[in-house]
Amino acid sequence: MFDQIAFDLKKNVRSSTNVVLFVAFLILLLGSFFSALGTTDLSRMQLTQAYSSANVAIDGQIKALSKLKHPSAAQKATLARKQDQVHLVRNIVMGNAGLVSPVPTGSINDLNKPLLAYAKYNLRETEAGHAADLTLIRDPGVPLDPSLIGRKKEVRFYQYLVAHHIAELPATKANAPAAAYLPFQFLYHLSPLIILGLFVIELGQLFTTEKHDGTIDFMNNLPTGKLKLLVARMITFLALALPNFALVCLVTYLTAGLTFGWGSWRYPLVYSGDGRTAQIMTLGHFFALLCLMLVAAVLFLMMLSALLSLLSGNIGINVIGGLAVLVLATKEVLSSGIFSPLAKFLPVGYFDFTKVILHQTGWPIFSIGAGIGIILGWALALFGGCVVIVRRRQRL
Amino acid sequence: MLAVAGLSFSFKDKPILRDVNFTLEDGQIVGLVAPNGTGKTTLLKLLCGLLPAPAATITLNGLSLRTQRSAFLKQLFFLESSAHLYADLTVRDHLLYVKRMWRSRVDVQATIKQLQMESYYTKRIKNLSLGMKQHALLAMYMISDAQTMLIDEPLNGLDPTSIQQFEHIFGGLRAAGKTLLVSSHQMDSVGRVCDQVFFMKDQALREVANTGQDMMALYTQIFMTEAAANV
Ligand SMILES: Nc1ncnc2c1ncn2[C@@H]1O[C@H](COP(=O)(O)OP(=O)(O)OP(=O)(O)O)[C@@H](O)[C@H]1O
Ligand SMILES: [Mg+2]
Repeated sequence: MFDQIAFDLKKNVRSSTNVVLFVAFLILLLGSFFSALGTTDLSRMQLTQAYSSANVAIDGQIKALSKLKHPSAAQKATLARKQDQVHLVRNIVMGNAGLVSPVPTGSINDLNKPLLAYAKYNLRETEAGHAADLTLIRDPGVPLDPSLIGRKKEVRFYQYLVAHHIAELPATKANAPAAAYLPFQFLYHLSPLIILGLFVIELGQLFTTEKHDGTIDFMNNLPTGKLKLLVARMITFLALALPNFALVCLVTYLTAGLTFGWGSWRYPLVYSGDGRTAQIMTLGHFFALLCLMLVAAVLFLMMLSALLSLLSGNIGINVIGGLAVLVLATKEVLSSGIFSPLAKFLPVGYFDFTKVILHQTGWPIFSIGAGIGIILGWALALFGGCVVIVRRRQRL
Repeated sequence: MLAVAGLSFSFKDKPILRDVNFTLEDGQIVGLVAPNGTGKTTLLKLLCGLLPAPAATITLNGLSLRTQRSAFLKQLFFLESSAHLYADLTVRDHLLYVKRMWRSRVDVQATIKQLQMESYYTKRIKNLSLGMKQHALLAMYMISDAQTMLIDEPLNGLDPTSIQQFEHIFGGLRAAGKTLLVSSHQMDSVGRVCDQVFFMKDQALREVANTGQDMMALYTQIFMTEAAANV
């Protein structure tokens, strides 16, 4: 087995595919790095604007309500709430002003604390059934979630920021520090399906070249079990593709770190596993899960490519087969009526890692662990298909 | 000994072989001769399982191709052409891998020397001429040390010196007890080297012992009289 892997590595390590893939991954991951270099970061300003437009909106509502000659009891109650809100939002605006002024004064928690206070207020009011009277702050780059769990998440998030003295990183921050830069790429800029698509192309190339070049006849005449050769090919792929991708991540991390600072892997993401309580996940934890799921999905796609390569030596068929699976993994397909109830049993139900990890999928899923299990289970089934074909045919 | 019984094969609507039976004895060189597109390469591929022939019985020194594939292949070496070598690997990469996979004791360095490949055995295949690649391919056969060697048109692209050298090496392999089935279009060479010749015609093999007769004349008689008659 070791001989085959060594020989296979030798055959493929010099292949230009590795370099092409490296560059392609790097361009994808560094896309927002380069756009950040060319422009000044506006995310802080956008956030400031979000605070002040909430303030302005509430002011306007107060003005309109005060002008009423004969306000109803409900309108009076709303006015009272608006006055509470404007007080809370002004604290946010003031705390923020100290931080963004040319000569910053005050600490991070001078902003975090009023944000937490406002989040708590909004949660209370939502629970009391007054959600319609709220003016939520629209974080740029993040879809507004007006639900109760959305309020709970906000409270949990700012509690964490206050407790750890961490400044909020706007989602639109292109020059995010290294620890946030990578996870943010997947969270806000880059669908994991595109990354998987590149792996599909790499797989198609690796698993079909020998049939294309005719060297597969030499492989088939080797005095050894053909399954061994197929497994050696798989190990070769993993030994080339995963370190290649890891290297891309490392280069991205270093590039972002040296330019924008290193940041903290303890920065919080907030999610809800059950839809009722909000939980914190650190960026470090998030990214580790992301890598795990990526490896599982790549294993699945590898088995698919291996199986397809047994049926046809055509790289087009191999790649299209893989990409077709990725199309099934899009939210458009998965949240459609027929697929939605099945999605949680299929590997493709778990390919949009970011959404799966933060439980934001538009289709029902099991837990992350179960998801990884399902992906690997299907990968094993495909491997079983390879075993059956190779055993029967004794050829690759 | 390679024993073949009941071998039939066709590509879609093109029949290649119909119920072919033969045996190859150890220590023999057998020529395989037929015009282009008759099915020589196809026959060689069938003999090592690269093409399926489920109804045929093919055994090599008692080992069945169907049920004892790896052990069968350990006794055999076949690589269709030097165009099927790995372009990015060196000659030496190929030779060392063959040596490991066939668990052979043949000395790689000595073989390189015998074939006068010292100047290019560390070069990548894609940087070699056709003749050099043919040498590399023959070296792989020698290093495999397989008992049976199926060789497809080994003399293609060789200069007269190399042809002599290859014929000499074939003789040496026969002397060492190997069985060689060699397809060729060079009838003079077939006449010099082969103990026996299979002429392939009408999906059958016609077996002729080499008694020093004029092979080219025989070829003309078998394949060209009919063609001439059709003109
Ligand atoms: N993969 C294939 N699919 C369909 N037909 C094939 C295939 N390979 C070969 N053939 C056909 O089978 C016939 C025999 O081909 P083969 O390569 O065995 O001939 P050959 O005797 O080796 O010829 P040459 O002397 O030119 O090498 C040809 O007519 C060819 O067109
Ligand atoms: Mg041929």
